[in-house]
Amino acid sequence: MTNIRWSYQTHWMQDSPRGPISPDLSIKHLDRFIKQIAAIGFEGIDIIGVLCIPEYLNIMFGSPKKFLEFIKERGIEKVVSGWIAYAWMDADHAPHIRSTHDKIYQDCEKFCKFLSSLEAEYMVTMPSNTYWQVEPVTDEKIKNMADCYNRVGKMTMNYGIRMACHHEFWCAIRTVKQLDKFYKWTDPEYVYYWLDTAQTVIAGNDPVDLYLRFHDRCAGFHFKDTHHIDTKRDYRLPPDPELMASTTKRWFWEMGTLGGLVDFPELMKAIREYNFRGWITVEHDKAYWGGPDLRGNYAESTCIAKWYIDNVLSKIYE
Amino acid sequence: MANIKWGYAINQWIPTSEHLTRREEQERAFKVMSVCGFRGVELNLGFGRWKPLGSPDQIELNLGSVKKFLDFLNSCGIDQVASYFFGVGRDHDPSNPTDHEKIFETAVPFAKFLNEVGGTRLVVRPMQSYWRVAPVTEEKIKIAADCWNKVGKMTMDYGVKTTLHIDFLCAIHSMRDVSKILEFTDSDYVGLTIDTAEVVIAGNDPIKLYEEFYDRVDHFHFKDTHNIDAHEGYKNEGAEIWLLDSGGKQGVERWFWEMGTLGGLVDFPELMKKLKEHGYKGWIIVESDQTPDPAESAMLNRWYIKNVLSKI
Repeated sequence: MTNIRWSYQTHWMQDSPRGPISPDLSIKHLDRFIKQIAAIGFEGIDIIGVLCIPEYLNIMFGSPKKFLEFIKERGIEKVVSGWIAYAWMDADHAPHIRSTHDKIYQDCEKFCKFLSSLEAEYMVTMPSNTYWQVEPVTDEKIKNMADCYNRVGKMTMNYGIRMACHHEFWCAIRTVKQLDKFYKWTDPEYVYYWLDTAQTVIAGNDPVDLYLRFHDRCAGFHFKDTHHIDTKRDYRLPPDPELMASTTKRWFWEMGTLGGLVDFPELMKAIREYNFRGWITVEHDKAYWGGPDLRGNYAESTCIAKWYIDNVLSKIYE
Repeated sequence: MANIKWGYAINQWIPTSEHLTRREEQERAFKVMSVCGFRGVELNLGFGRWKPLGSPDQIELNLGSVKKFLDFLNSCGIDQVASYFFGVGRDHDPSNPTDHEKIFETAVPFAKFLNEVGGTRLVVRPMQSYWRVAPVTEEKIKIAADCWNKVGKMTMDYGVKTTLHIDFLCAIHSMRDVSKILEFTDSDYVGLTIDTAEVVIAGNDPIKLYEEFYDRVDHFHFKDTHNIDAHEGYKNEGAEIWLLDSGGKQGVERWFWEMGTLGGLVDFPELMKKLKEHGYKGWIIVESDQTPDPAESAMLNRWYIKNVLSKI
């Protein structure tokens, strides 16, 4: 039995006769997608988007149980995590504003019940709205966000699910100082850390350093690479810094490309040092975008990343 | 040692002559193959400045030496070249005796190269397209067979078997013609490749073909199709363009598919049972020419092998 098992975050896009499509609204396309990732050795999936909407999943499959049967028949053993976040602030969802916490709690509980029916292990969230909607980021706001997710995390534990926070480079909690405060003010029993390698580098931080700092809180990872650090303050760009940034048309890359800034071997050594056992998730967020020069292909990117795992990372720790 | 060795054909990464020219593109293609569990590659003949992997000369020019090419392949997780597809052009007609020397001379460096890289099959198109050769007579088949006997004898000196790959446009089209060319070729030097999709599109049954000639079959191309050439489009002048590229009267957008798709006409499990029954040992090269997405096709084919065929 290996210490590390590999999962895949279900961002995907593929060409079809009617143009680019995401596979998660069609069983026919999901069938091809799940088979592709299972074929090269991924054993879990981390769901995001349409698959996180119980209504749609039930319409397509009848029940969460049948969805699990569907992925298992194709070689994927389990749903590792599900994603919920309130990137866009609205009147009911702003973790830095206490009056919205009840609604966030209720929504998260509903989602958590759904994840429980999928036998997932983690609920992953970004613990703030976009940076520009929260700024100035004060201690009081960080404290409010910490309190919000202390409550949510305590609730998810009742369903056997651990809640982890994932910090985009445009999240309101993004600097080492802010991260330190947030994890100091959250309860280690209820709030875990989810390390996204590319987002961390883009934010100007070192993923190895952050892992060493929060290893005892770290529940999981998104392994992806980037070729750029945000030095132009794109993280403050309204409305969206991922697709509209001035730095680059494509922030996120698969592991193993020339120009990749994440030091995955060093991170893997640190993970080995602390005997991390569990799932590592590979993610290729927005690989499809970037214009004619930079546009990627999910299938190919995923093969290249898995090749890197099999031939580089697994030799360090598996 | 497994009886079956799975390889992948490079041709799906070369939909146009401008593809797969850069080293980094080649590296990604080989890594995709490797991570999908294919440890051997079938290269594809091609000449000219945009075919850096098209011939031994080009490979040496681009990589420095055959050894460096092998090192490059190994660094990507590919163990070896399994075979070379030797589809000589329209100015090389095996049914024309005056072309034999030219074909023979062209084949020599490929045989030498395969010997150096551990490859064991030179995969040849036995005759030109049907429309170029018609009427296809026994005499023409015999002349073509003589050509491949000579080539096959030469390649065997390098430990490489020459194997006849019959596509659906080929002048060798019917079971009778397949039987004829096998009869006229020396089984010591010349074998038969079954390309599952090509056989089905031509209106034949790959399982029957294998059952009849299993003792001559020494190579496979596994790919699927959703269509048969129902209007004998292969007989039309310019069938390569009119039928293969433009879809003919049926308007087929894509002739070749991955294994395991809805509507696929090849019965792979049944064929696999027959391979087992006759104790086939050797390469099966998976092909996905005409795919819009090479990596997706390689992954789907791997899934089908792992979950369906390997269980047989």
